[in-house]
Amino acid sequence: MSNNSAKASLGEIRSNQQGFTRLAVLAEALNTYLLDTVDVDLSACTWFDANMSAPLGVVFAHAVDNLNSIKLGGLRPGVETILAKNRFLAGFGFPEREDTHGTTIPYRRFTPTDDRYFAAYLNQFLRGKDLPIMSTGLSERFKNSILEIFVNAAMHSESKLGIFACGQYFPQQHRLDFCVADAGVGIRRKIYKELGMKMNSDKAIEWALQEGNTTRKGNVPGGLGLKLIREFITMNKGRIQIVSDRGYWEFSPQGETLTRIDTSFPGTVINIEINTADTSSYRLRSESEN
Amino acid sequence: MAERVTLKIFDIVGGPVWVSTDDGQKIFDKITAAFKAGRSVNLSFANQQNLITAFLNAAIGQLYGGQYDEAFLKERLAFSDISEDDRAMLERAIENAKRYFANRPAYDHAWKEVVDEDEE
Repeated sequence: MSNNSAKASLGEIRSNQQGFTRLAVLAEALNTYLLDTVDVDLSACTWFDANMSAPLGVVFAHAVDNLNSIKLGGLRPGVETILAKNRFLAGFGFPEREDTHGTTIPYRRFTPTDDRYFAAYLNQFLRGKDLPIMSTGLSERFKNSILEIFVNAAMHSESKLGIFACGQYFPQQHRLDFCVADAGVGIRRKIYKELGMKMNSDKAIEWALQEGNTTRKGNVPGGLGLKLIREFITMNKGRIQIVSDRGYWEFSPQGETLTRIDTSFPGTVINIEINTADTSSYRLRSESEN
Repeated sequence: MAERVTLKIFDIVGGPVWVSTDDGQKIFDKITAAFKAGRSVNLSFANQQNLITAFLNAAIGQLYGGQYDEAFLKERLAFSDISEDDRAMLERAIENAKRYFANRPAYDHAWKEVVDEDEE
């Protein structure tokens, strides 16, 4: 309950297992507070991958849902610039900053029925003036992948607090990262609820990745969206990560990791990263042509 | 030969963004209503801005759930104003649907056997 010294802190956040784990630990710490003003100290955060604003949004949304106020402090200038440019800090009393390099796809919070707004947001920002000039095929496959992820989250997550999105282009590394995060029940609980199958979080992600598996009821086939995303990421030599509850999965040219993190993330996050320097043809082929 | 009716996705959905399962369901409902009325369907993809498989699974994929056989669908359902890429996506959705409905019990059964302990 009310606590005059409600505090939490966050270290460096990159789009990797450690970064997601730190956000889960922050969520767990914030979950102990109710009706408090919580000071979140970011002085140890020397770097923040802007796309990770989406899962951070989930973490703070849960805290605010518990009637807490979040106060951010100790931001280093570099981190403040990143989070002000992508509009994340706008809700925390910080001034907005111009994204002069045009490398940001701003942080936004959507409701599950916002699919058309979400598409308009992608259509607008994925053709940002300074985003890399990608082939039409690459750009379309990337956009479609993100739309599939959003629709999937809208359909399955049961997120009452919304769906959070943010992207960032890292020009020196020729990579474009985009993150979609929901504050929902997580894949493991959804499978149990809909199908009565109990499984660990990592196994639940594996289940969701299998062709044909879906918790959707009725006669609509599922299981194609993630398959196409995976094909695309393989071709592009990009990377995809899924975090749900304690499950963590990563797929990249370096290999595939499926594991459990120590702390539960309160929702599901999918981060996709593409190699923007890639010039392959991205024509989708029918299976008979493959 | 059944008289053919043209259904425009743009008009039924009410815009160029074709992504949600709910919007896909609207297309499915119109197609099946036309079949019920003894018509063939020409489905027009004109004015598409965004199209993904989640929409196609509902709009087209579920036609392969057993209510109609493949020969019927081949004869009664045609697609027009569709780009090469969108046609490839549509074909993937149809192939996926056929496989999904052919294997659905097997998918469920296989996973029921590998389920391990719960975290809680």
